[in-house]
Amino acid sequence: MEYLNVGQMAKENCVSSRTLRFYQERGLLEPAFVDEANGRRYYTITQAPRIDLITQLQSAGFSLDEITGIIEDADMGRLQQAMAEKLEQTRARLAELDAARRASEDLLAGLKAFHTTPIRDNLLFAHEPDRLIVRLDAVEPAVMATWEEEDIAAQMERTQCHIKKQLAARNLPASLLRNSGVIVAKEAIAPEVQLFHHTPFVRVAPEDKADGAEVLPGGNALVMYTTFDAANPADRAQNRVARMLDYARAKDLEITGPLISESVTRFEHYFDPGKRPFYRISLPVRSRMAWNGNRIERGDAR
Amino acid sequence: MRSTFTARQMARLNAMDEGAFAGYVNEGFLQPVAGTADTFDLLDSRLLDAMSHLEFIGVPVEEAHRANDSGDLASLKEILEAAVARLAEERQRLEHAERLARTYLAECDGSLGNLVLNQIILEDLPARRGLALPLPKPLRTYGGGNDDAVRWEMACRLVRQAIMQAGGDVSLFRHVGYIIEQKDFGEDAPPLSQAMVLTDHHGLADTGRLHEIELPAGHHLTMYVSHAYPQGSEGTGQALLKRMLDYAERVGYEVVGDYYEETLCRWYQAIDPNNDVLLHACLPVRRPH
Repeated sequence: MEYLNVGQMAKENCVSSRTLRFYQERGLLEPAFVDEANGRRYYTITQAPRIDLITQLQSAGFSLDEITGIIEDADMGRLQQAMAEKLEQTRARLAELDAARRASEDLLAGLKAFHTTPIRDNLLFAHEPDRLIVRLDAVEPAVMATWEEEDIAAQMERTQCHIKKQLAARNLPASLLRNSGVIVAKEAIAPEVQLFHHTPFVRVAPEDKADGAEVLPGGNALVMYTTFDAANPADRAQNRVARMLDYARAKDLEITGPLISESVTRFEHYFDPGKRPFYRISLPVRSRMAWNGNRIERGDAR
Repeated sequence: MRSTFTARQMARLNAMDEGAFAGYVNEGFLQPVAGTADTFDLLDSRLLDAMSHLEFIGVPVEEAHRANDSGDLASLKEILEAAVARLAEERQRLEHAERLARTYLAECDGSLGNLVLNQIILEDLPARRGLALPLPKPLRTYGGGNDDAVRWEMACRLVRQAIMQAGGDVSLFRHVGYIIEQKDFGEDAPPLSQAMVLTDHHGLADTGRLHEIELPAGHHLTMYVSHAYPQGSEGTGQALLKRMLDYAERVGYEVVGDYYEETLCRWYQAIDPNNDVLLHACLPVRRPH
């Protein structure tokens, strides 16, 4: 069998001559023959599988030290064990990356909504999709009572801190804070509702595999995108809820589910506490009017 | 009323390690209330949230600082988009790593398991997809002539080069093999017509010299062969094919497709070039009624 010089071996294996030199220096691949007269190195083509092994193990995430160990051991059982561990690490990192991707997409979507949602403080009709959520524990009334002297901005921040602690206690990623909000049960919806007193939640993805996740059914809803001036005690969330309820009454809309108040993006006020958080409030509704075959009338009149 | 807390209280309120909180303070990201050393505004929790969100998606701390300093949401959007691109890139790298780890594990399982070696058996194989590369005639062998080991290895190198030139990566260079077409079976020394690699990544066929193939499902006469291509041997592949064709004729199986060999394990050869590959030789047949 003839030898291949360094250039030929490198070319056949799509690596550089420097890489072959480096492998030699690391003891990963010795030339089959070195011409002592001129120091030139030569390889046989049947050494190529070693290059495949090294490059593939590198691509699988092994360090050169680990690869050296694997080759020195020359034990397939050890390779199998190391590879199984590497596969587990890789899959764990893939899951982390997917969670990070979802987080970055959500953050971008929130920013986009902040910039492109044209109508603020107006009522819209929207069809809400089904959402997967995890309900968290509400703040204890006794604890809430200790916040009463604080301004509304501090109370909002207290609620966010409460959600962070709940996420930590439930082993849920802190990044889910981006999708947090409050659910007000249908029977508790009233013009003077105190949103902070109700059940906080975080929206999750199926891939989060969160314990206790439940589907919040979608449907038609009255929706309002809004900002609160947290520094202004008169600017309360209740004002918006009261408007939504007034509108529903005026248009003969029946409330069909819980009220949801959730943050769209907090970035705007992350970086400038003087700025206002951007929220979305939705109230699921259904028209009481229905077509009876001859005319539109109240559904409950039939 | 301004709500202020000590560093320790702030860390606890934010479900955060005290050391991490101190880190943010030391880096100048959070500052104590003016005129104090250890009193922080509750509203600064928002900055902590921003930092933890950005860190979670892999935004370097310096970039997060810049976004904070500029307070510019347009630059924040750029930062987030760059983070998404980085995440996608890392995901692709990890997908390659995962694919490699899975195939190596399968290789180890197959090699360490109790395969029946060098015996003809009947297997019902699923359809599989792959990419193939017509082999030049003659195959360049660097003076190796018809040495089976050299010819086999050169065929493999050509596939690897085609994959890399088409923008693929080394993780796709697995399950390599070659095909002898059925129309050539009658020749004394039927040629290796195509080298192949079994993969679902058919996108590579659009950009390079590789073309798509589908290996048929159904019954195959197969052999798990070790030491099929020792150095210095000649015509071993053809000998394996001949043995299988003889057997098929003897038991009345009809040959219904091209013969192919697929590498199952190259580990031993990678450790010592004098070792050989473990192969799966397959001949599609129809069973007699």
